[in-house]
Amino acid sequence: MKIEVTLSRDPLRLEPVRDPGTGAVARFDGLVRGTENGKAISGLNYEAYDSMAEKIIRQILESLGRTHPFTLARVHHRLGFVPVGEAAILIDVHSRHRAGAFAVLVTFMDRLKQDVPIWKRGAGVPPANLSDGGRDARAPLS
Amino acid sequence: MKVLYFAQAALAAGCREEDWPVGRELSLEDFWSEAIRRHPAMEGLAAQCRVASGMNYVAGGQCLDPQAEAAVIPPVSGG
Repeated sequence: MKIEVTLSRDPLRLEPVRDPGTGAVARFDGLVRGTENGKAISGLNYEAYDSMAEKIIRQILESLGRTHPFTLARVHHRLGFVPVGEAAILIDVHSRHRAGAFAVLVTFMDRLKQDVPIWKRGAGVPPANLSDGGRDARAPLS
Repeated sequence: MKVLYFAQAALAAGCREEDWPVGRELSLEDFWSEAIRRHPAMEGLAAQCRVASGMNYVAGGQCLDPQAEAAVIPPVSGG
């Protein structure tokens, strides 16, 4: 069971993987919409507690893999400014059968939105004193 | 103890990181008392934020290790 986690400020891409033990690949592309809370935006700014986010993502996938074994799960999340139409997150789960791959994918996304320390805010509606374009979360505010 | 603030918590604190001179384990109540004493604007966030110590969420009844990095974790919104 292999897990690959990447938090990146660059555009995301998942390269195809060939594995004769894999019979199903479930994939999710999370894209930035043009509106957030009913307001037009140019993109979203993402910040993260990088080290904890990676740790929690791995913990979630390891836990799910005990119930639904998979051969490979890849989670790539983008940080910083992500323009409308581009991917904020790409996930794929490789498994012997489709049921396990779907189960891991769906449950993982639910858990990510509950427990993984990553935050977004819409560009164009920034907080008054945090218009930093989504730079590293540990950087000084000013 | 190094304390990190993220998202709304960083706005309320006015900083992203600071060091607290702590020589003992802190309960969650102790932690929030100190955070609010330092940053009164944090008071409104305490009920909705979680706290991590050593990159693990701290549950009620658990304590924060003064040697570990602590973090205030507002409601998350990744993906």
